[in-house]
Amino acid sequence: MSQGPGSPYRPEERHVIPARAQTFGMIIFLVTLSILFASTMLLYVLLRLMAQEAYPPGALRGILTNAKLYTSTLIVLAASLTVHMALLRIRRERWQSFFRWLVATDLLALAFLAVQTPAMVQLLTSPLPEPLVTVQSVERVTGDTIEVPRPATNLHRLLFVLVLLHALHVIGGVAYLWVVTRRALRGLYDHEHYVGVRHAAMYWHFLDLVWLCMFGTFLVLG
Amino acid sequence: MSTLNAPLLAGIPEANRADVHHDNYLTHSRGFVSWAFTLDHKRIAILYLVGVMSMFAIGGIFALLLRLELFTPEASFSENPALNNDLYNQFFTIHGAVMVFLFIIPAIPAIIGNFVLPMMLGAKDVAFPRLNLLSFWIWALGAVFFSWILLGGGITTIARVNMEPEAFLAWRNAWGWLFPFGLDTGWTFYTPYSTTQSTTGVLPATMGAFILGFSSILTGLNFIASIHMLRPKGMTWFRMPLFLWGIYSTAIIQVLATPVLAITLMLLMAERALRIGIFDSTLGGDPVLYQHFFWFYSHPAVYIMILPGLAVVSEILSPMCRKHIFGYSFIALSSIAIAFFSFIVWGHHMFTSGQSPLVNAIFSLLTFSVSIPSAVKVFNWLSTMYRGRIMLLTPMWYVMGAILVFTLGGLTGLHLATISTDIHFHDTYFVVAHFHYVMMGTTLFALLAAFYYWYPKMWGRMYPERWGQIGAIVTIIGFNVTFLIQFVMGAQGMPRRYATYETQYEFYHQVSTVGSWILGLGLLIALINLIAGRKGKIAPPNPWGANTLEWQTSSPPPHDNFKITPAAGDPYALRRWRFVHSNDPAVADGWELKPEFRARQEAAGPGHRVEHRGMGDHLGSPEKTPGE
Amino acid sequence: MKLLLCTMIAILLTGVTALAQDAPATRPTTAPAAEATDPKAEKLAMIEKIQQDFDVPAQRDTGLESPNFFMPQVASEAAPATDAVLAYINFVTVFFTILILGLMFFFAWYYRSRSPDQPDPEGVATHSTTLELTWTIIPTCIVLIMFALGFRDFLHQAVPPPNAMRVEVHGRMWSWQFTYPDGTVTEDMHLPVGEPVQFILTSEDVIHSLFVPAFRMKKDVVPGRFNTIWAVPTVEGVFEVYCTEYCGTGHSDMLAKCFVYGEGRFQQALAWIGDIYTDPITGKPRSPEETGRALWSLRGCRGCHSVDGSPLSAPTWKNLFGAQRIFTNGSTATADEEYLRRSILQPHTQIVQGYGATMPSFAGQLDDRDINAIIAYIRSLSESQGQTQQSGLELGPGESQSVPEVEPRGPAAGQNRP
Ligand code: HEA
Ligand code: HEA
Ligand code: HEC
Ligand code: CUA
Ligand SMILES: [Cu+2]
Repeated sequence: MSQGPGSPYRPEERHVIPARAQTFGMIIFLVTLSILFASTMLLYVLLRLMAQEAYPPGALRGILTNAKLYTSTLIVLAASLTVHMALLRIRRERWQSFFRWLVATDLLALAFLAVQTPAMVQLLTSPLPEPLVTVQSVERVTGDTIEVPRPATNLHRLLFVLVLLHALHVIGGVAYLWVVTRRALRGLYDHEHYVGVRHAAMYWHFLDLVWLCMFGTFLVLG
Repeated sequence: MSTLNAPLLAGIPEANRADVHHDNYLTHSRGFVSWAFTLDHKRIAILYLVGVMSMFAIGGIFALLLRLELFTPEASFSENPALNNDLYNQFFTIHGAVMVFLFIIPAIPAIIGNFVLPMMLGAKDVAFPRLNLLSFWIWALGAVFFSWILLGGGITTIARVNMEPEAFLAWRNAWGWLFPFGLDTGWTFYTPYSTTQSTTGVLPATMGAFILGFSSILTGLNFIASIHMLRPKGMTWFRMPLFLWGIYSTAIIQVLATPVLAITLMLLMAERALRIGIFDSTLGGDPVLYQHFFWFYSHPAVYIMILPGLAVVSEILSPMCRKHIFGYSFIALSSIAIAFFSFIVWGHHMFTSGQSPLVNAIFSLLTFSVSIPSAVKVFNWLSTMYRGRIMLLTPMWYVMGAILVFTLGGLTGLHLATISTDIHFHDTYFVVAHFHYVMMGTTLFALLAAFYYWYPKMWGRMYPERWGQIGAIVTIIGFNVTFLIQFVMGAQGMPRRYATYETQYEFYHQVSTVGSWILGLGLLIALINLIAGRKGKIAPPNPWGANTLEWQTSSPPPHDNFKITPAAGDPYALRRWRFVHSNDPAVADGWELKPEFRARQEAAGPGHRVEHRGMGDHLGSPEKTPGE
Repeated sequence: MKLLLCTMIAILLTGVTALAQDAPATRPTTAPAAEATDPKAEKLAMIEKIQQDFDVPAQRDTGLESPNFFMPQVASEAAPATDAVLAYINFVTVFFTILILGLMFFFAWYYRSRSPDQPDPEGVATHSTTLELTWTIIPTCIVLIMFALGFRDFLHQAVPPPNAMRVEVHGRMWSWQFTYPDGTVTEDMHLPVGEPVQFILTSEDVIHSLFVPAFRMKKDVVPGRFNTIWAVPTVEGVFEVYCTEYCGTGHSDMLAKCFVYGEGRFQQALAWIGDIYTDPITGKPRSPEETGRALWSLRGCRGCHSVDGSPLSAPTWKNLFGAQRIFTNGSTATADEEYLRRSILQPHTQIVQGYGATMPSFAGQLDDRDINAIIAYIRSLSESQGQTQQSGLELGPGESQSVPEVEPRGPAAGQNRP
């Protein structure tokens, strides 16, 4: 991009913000968010590996075999699919079908939250399996050894925080979908102007990807 | 009031000449709402100006207070040593946190960047004006959190001084949630102190910093999109003003590094509230992990603070030396290089933390990489001054002040980057002096240079020149008296964040405290001067003879900047302009486009395309000015 | 104007140079006998005593002169090496500072604009790849040398010799505690000259950092980690020890001294200083209260508990004995011996209202005799020593033999040592 596209934009005429510029902004936004999530995952991996001794592998299994988490994974994948279908429909101005897919996405998004909330409450409240604390023997300079407690990170609560972080973004996504749905109802989209739908789809695919990465990491390390 | 005399307007397309008294962005609409919810980038810049500079004043007052405490080695604020130390600890924490999060990170990008970036692009606004307004209000929300802490800290301190200890404890139990007890963690919020020991407002403060992070991200995003999408025809990447290169590199760091701060602070809050065991070793976490996360943001953040400052220097130097900037592309690319390297050096803040010797070595080596692009910038600036026609005006004094302190501050960064010497200097006043040289010195001086340089554009008036220069010189002297001696003090072993100290450092501290008063005086002169300037002479559109696009509209600019996008060429082709004396005593002297360039300029309507002919006026062929 | 600026800086620099050369030693500011209860004065008395009895030089500037005028004295094997690296960096810094600032001010003056009408310069170069490469490559080489020097020096400091004496360092809010191989516990650093010492650092609460400027030695004291660092003191003398990682209210009081003893005097000094049951200054046996007070200081109770009623992060010990305690869970108790003993050994069973569970347990660190001494001390801080006084007199079995009873106890003892 060596040549700027010119600046046709006037503040008084809001709709003139070129769709390209908006999508460009959206991409930067998603890059920012990926860094956010990538750093949390890095942190999880580090803490998980640090907690290795004190925390035998598989201890999270009780949580991770929870059917709710798998259900919500399926839901979030489905929502990604439906919002993409909606996008394909609006490009061809097939209103009815577009609208149906959009509402389906809304419902799936809400369902995701509905399924995840109890799982999160469980994460927050469930105690860690014993032993929480191991001891390490340390030789002192005086020659005697002392036992130093080696506590372990409460991975349940850490998981809770990370899942909460994702859930907050899902809530943001739901709010955005709601705006898109309302605008769709008011007939603001057509085959040329559908940036809102496109961004909703991009965002939703992104959340999907993040969830899969998170869940995958939990499963592999859990 | 007189209107501008005709010669000074020569070269400004008719359509871009606003009627100074009736329509400019300041007078375009009136009332609180028209300011608070404006989408005009220039007004948003003014909102930031007021907000950010108030925060600077607050941070500065705390700096003066903490320097006052350090005037004597003993506890000097209270008989009770615990109270005295707590007060001091709160002072430097609030000073550091306010200066870093509320002042210096938004300072140049949000004030100067917002004001001039769209105009330099010949655009009517940034890419996303609503987002721009949102960033400002997010910033204001963050400021509210810090103000809450200040207020709570003040009230709690009064209660603590006036109440019996038991009654005070009971009062805190009842009201502590409403009045956070200030903040005493240092701006770095190191764990486990911040998660387990501190009884102060760590949660509101981290929440505030967290929120400010979003403001920073949105501003960065907006600027990246604007620079990618809004460049006018004729402005290739290598025809961008250097200021935009600096802002662009800054924005990249803002967008890529700030999310890590957000996550770090979020986990800090979670750790404090839920006791998970992330950063607290008694729960299975690791405090050094926190430091890695914190500095992964905060090191790049120091370049968020400095790059715009260096960009201002590069931008102002050329018109002030009446000479094309030397080594344009090296300066431009060095900004990008600094932004890139800034991500891989964070470990140099942790040489003594017990990380492995190998990691230390790698970070030390990488740290040096940043100094190379910085050196390139400094030498190019010097070459720009060489054989120029240097106008020793207020902006130039600040620019020279900035170069002076950046050289010293940057070179002392090398003492810290070398592992074995950093082990001695770490967490002493040597570090304090280093970072005040680079951030307080360089960035603040660059900011002040920018205030003066763009003052005529912002307000349509000229500031009083003589007092401007006096203010600049007093400030530069005061700054060096305050901080130069801190290098010596630090090297002698004086640790930082000490409320009381041993008598052998007394002299150094007293010099430094006196210096801070000189510095305060200089800033006060500058402040009064800038306010007095509102009654100064009327400013012509182009008072400096600069060739970037913001000077090709009236001062102050009309609401929508340009009716006709001016043609963009080499931003430093200064020889297209010539000096004219104003024939009206109420109007300041200025520059007009030379007649031979005028016809083309007037004709340049929207979509006018300019041929590219290399980068600048090359050796021996000064007349071959591109863009004409 | 710019000349003014230059001279300002020059004057400042020379002033500092002159000053740094005869930086005053830490003189006792005020140490009259009347103020013997002032901890600072007590400390000074201690230092004087050590200097006399163990022949430790009093002057701070016994060390070799550092090649850098602004560095503290050189007192370890590593210090001259670090200073040599520093000398190189300083040379580079001074060279480039003079070069850059000199050129800048010269240009600003020589090429200044004489009148605004003057024509702009013509025919000047706007770039030169040769120059750009020069000032990229030369600094690169310079900093690579810098890195190599610093790294070599650092590597040497990272690997302790195998025969080093090991000293355990505990950092806590806000005091230091040094434990030697023979089990002696001190609050200052005591080292033999010329022998390598390895420090094993650990913290009981937050991060601290051990800094001995004269040794150019610093390492963070991180809870949950055992960082190590080592040094070879080369000069006898008294040096400063600082905490350089911010650790809360008492951060700037977290100071200690480093005593370096000549041939053969180290063991002697350690034995003398390690005997907390004897008053080091007078050489007389201490009463339990006095021992308790010494422990209060040595074991770091001082950092959190005041003895004069001033509020710190933990309840004051003044008038604690016999008082009614209210706990976070709503229950209450009277502060008698049993309660105090429990508070020291299992502090987390009952948390006093208004405070956090921050006190570390001292089980295994203090023996019965020590605890009894502390309790006796706490009791002496109460005006009404309550009905429980009688039962408080029973001492540990081994105790009565070694510690002679000091009579009479009472308010007088409390006055002597508040
Ligand atoms: C605006 C902010 C800013 C900037 C630009 C810099 C720039 C640099 N900083 Fe600084 N730094 C801080 C802000 C900044 N710093 C802060 C806030 C802290 C402390 C935080 C805290 O703990 O609270 C800190 C701390 C800090 C440390 C950790 C110290 C410690 O705590 O132990 C280190 C260590 O490497 C360091 C190094 C550097 C280096 C190498 C540069 C380089 O980028 C400098 C490059 C510039 C030059 C080199 C000068 C110009 C070049 C020439 C004049 C030509 C000649 C050059 C050569 C021969 C190479 N800094
Ligand atoms: C941008 C950042 C910034 C700025 C500008 C400053 C400015 C100053 N700083 Fe500070 N400082 C920090 C960032 C900054 N500082 C940080 C991050 C720390 C570390 C904190 C920590 O350890 O956690 C620190 C710590 C710090 C310390 C060390 C404390 C310690 O470790 O114990 C000291 C001590 O001297 C100090 C002094 C000063 C002084 C005298 C100024 C002076 O320059 C202030 C001058 C300002 C004024 C006097 C205000 C007057 C204003 C006006 C009159 C209005 C002017 C308005 C216009 C011109 C429009 N600062
Ligand atoms: C890190 C800070 C800290 C240190 C060091 C510390 N304490 Fe405490 N101590 C506390 C706090 C906080 C409390 C109040 C909460 C509680 O009851 O545990 C307390 C309570 C006590 C009590 C009960 C006091 C009361 O008011 O009921 C006693 C006795 C005591 N400490 C003795 C000691 C002794 C002896 C030492 C040193 C050998 C010591 N403490 C060191 C923090 C500390
Ligand atoms: Cu311990 Cu600072
Ligand atoms: Cu850094």
